[in-house]
Amino acid sequence: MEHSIDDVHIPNPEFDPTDPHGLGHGHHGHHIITARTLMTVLLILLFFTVLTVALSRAEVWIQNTFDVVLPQWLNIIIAMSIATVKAVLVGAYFMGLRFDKALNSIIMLICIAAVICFLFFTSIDLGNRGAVSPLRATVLSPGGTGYGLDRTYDGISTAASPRPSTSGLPIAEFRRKERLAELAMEEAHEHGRTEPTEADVAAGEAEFWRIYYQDYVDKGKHPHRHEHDEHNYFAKLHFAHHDADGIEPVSRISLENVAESSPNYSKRLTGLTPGLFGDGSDHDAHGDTHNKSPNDNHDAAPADTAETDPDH
Amino acid sequence: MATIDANKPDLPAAGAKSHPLYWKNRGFAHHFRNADEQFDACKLGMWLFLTTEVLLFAGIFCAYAIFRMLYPDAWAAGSHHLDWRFGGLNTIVLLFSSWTVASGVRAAQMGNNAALIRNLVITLICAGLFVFIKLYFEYIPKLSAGKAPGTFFSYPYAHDPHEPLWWSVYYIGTGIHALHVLIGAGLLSWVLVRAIRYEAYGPTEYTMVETSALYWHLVDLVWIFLFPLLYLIH
Amino acid sequence: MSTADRTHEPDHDHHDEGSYLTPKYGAMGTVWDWMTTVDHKKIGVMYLFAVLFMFFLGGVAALAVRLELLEPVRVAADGAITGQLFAPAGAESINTGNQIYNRLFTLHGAIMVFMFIVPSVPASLGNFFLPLMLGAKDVAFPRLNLFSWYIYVSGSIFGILSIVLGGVDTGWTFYTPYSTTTDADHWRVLLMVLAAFVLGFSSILTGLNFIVTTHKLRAPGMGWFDMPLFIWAIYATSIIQVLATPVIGITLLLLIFERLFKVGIFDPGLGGDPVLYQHFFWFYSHPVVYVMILPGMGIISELLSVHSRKQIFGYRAIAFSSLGIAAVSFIVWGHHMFTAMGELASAIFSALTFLVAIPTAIKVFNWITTLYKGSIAINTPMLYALSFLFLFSIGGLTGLPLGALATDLHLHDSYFVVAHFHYVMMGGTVIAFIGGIHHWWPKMFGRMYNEKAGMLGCVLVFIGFNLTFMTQFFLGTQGMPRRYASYVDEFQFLHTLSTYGSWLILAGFLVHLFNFIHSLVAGPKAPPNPWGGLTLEWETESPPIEHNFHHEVLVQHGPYDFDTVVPPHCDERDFPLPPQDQPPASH
Repeated sequence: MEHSIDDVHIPNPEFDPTDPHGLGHGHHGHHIITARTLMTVLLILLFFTVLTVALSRAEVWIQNTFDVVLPQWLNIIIAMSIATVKAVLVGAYFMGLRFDKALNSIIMLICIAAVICFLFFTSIDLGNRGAVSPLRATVLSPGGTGYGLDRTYDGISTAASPRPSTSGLPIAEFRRKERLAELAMEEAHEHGRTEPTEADVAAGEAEFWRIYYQDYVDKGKHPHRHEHDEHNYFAKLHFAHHDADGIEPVSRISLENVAESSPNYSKRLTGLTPGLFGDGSDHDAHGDTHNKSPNDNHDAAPADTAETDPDH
Repeated sequence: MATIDANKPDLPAAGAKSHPLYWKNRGFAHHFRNADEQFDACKLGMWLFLTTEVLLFAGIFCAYAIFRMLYPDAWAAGSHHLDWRFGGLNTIVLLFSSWTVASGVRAAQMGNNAALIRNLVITLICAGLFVFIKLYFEYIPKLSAGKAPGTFFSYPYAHDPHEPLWWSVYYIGTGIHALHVLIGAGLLSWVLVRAIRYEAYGPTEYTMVETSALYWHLVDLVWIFLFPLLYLIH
Repeated sequence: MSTADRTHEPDHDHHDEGSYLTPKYGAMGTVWDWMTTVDHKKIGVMYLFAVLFMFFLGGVAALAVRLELLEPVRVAADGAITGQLFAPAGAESINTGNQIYNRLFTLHGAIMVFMFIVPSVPASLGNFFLPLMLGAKDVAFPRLNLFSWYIYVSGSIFGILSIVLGGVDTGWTFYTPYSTTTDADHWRVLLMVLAAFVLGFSSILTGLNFIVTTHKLRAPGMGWFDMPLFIWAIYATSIIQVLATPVIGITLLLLIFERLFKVGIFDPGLGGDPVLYQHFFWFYSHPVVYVMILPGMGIISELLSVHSRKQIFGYRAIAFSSLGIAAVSFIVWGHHMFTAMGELASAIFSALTFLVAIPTAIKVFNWITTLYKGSIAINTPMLYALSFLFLFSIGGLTGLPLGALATDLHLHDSYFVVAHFHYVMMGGTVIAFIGGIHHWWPKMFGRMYNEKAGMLGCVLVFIGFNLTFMTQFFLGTQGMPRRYASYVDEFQFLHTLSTYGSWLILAGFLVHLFNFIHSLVAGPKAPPNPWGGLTLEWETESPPIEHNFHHEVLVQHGPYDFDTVVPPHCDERDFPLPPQDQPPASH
């Protein structure tokens, strides 16, 4: 006799069609959720969706209107709590966990416990590099340097898996430089020149920053904690409370100093475990270039722009 | 799972009731003691599979959480590039489709094949709508503006050097989720075809409706977390 | 022990059914029958041969690695370092020997981990015996079971393809940034990563199937604590497989994205973190270490109890310690990356790592206590079980200095680590696996093997194993680093011993191989219950019939009630009960 799972039992045809199993034994009845419950749950879910969006917008509005900075965790706590409530509702009613065997819920809880372990312990490491010993902090910084894609690895050819060259710049900064050059060139072409002059460069730069902050102009909002008005453009764009004598920029974070965008920057030096990238001396040299020289450029650039650009 | 679905004769609609896939003709596989046990086993198996899906997405959530912790400004700047209206619309679409699919299970339990088909069709339309909004209003405009992941990043107006990383997490997260939407839609289409052709689901036989629906709800659950994380938190 | 008196729907009775091995429909038909079978026994046998083939491939690579290390470094005239085997002095390409060596140990690691040891016990013996031991006709999802075998085969084909095309030198861990940037292996790295990714699905589906089977298909009368401990071990294994494997799925997917599209998650040049990859990787790969060892522990529980005719000591303690190991496995992965992590996380992970020792020690103590006053049969399975106790204890105890942060920083990436995990993985899992194959061989194939040859093989493997790996503990503490093709002269004596040991292991396995072939061809027919076991698989024929049991099984005694029950199909003269006036020695 062949072993086949298609070898089935055919149930007694005289069954009660309203009986969920109709087999007369071993069943315990499946819960059929009422249409009314389903509809109620849907409405609650939609309400929470609207609520979470509204709270998030309200936060933005409060920040803009009253010129306050709300702590970041507030937003996270609110949004994640609402999402959790929604998830529980979907699980309990749409997926029927509430009326189902407890085992299925236990499985999901074990799964969530595993997820929490995963997130928790990974964050412990990446959030606390160098937390105990400042000495170790110099060799163990979380995240990459972001210094671009031109680093080579000792003795390893990467020709078959090439990465675009960014001249040692972070890719975002590289794209910005590309765009600036493009705008300067457009400016030059407009004036019938083949090579951009200094004025073209300045005009192109002004155009660039106009687009850069267009978003804020359009929406009438201004950066608070996320945007650092390194060029003091907001004063020029007539944001009220930036007018008076040009408020000192909060900090001078620039795209070049990528490591500074890390919140605990002040606590540690830049760089990555040296072993990953060949010898440490090369690393230091690299860090220096990017920590110091671009700053000088930046101090100069906005001043030029502000004075030479007639549009502002 | 294990049932007589081999050697389907292609019966005309009139003979549907004699088709082995017609729900009243369904039995249960030989290694189970009764249909109820088979149903429970299938559902347990599906829940276990859902845990694997949750842990798959946990990797993406973990990458999100770690990089958000490391580069909060990049994440805030990235989040500002997303339009909460499209995210919110997609959330509503998915929640609604979750409701229709739950109603579909209910219809199958009640033996109402027409309602099952209706609900499944609406669900599939919602799936299409979700993917359409995602592609047409989000992916395509963003990609053409250069807001692309990693080395493909060519958007010159980045506010933070780590924005390319944000886009990597965004595209991988939403992309894998969208893939799950498509897989879920595929499962539900299969259920739909069988419901239409054979009236395969009824009070005693709705395992496949139930398990496919569970999968669809999971897709919804993941989006419930992805939406605020990507669109609202800043 | 409960005796179920539930009235049951009269079942299909399978009175005149033949063995599952009986060929049907002619030669081609039989092949087709096996290729499309949903019978867990056939799938288990197919898995068994597949994993043993992979074991052979990985073993050849291991022997080649040991051969390379037979002699120390060679310095050619131009000062280039060459390995002694693959790039004899004077070879033109200065690094060829090292490159081949790197590929060989990667291939050894990747094959042994992903294609052999993870699926080894659960997918082969587990597939065959889990339903039998539960008194079920099949696993819960037979088609899924077959599907998972095909996934396993296709994953293995990807892996072999990657090797045939030239091999990979990333190490089996695929650490970034090397694995995302090294160019010598571009498509081969992708193929190998894809192989591991695909194999993960096979693992998940097998685990899922076993969990559902254990929950839903236990025979009437079998409560949770009437299950054999092998089932408990497989159950705990399956939980890990289901919970941990998806994470390696997303990790390898991200690695593939990283390699193909340079998305930057693990790329420091784009702000990503290479150590994040290690977290992702070890969140899977540490629990999977217990996927490797737990089924081995389950086998040992069976072997020790049956072959010493003793009620297992501390049944519940062993059962719960399996679950305990599964639970702890998810919070200790950081001890693989002490040198890469911040020191706070390192300290926390180091402390947590010691939790693993508790359930593991509980098991070892219970096994030893089980042997106490038992009627110990000296046969191949028992010899293997005793070897396991010895070798696994060494493996486990040497894990403690590696789990301690301070000593690990010293021993990290040395041969001490290599010796440690070989004592656990090979001295633990492989030894248990081979012991288990001997134990269940008569049941699987219906033939007895030559006991003397089996014992000879076991002795050879045991001596060879200790010679190979004990020396590596000393090498490691003296400073011999992992993954080097050449070394300073002082290490040569120990390295030579180690290589000789590897040849002894080979000899032992060859003895087993010929013994098994001889058994299949000319072995005496096996009785249904040659060892006097009490678990349900011994109640059916050897080999089992298509539907496993002639009638539905009703469980009436515990799996280890050797004091009170005469084993099925056995004579009391062969397996006497203890004298009645003497209380049983167990708890």
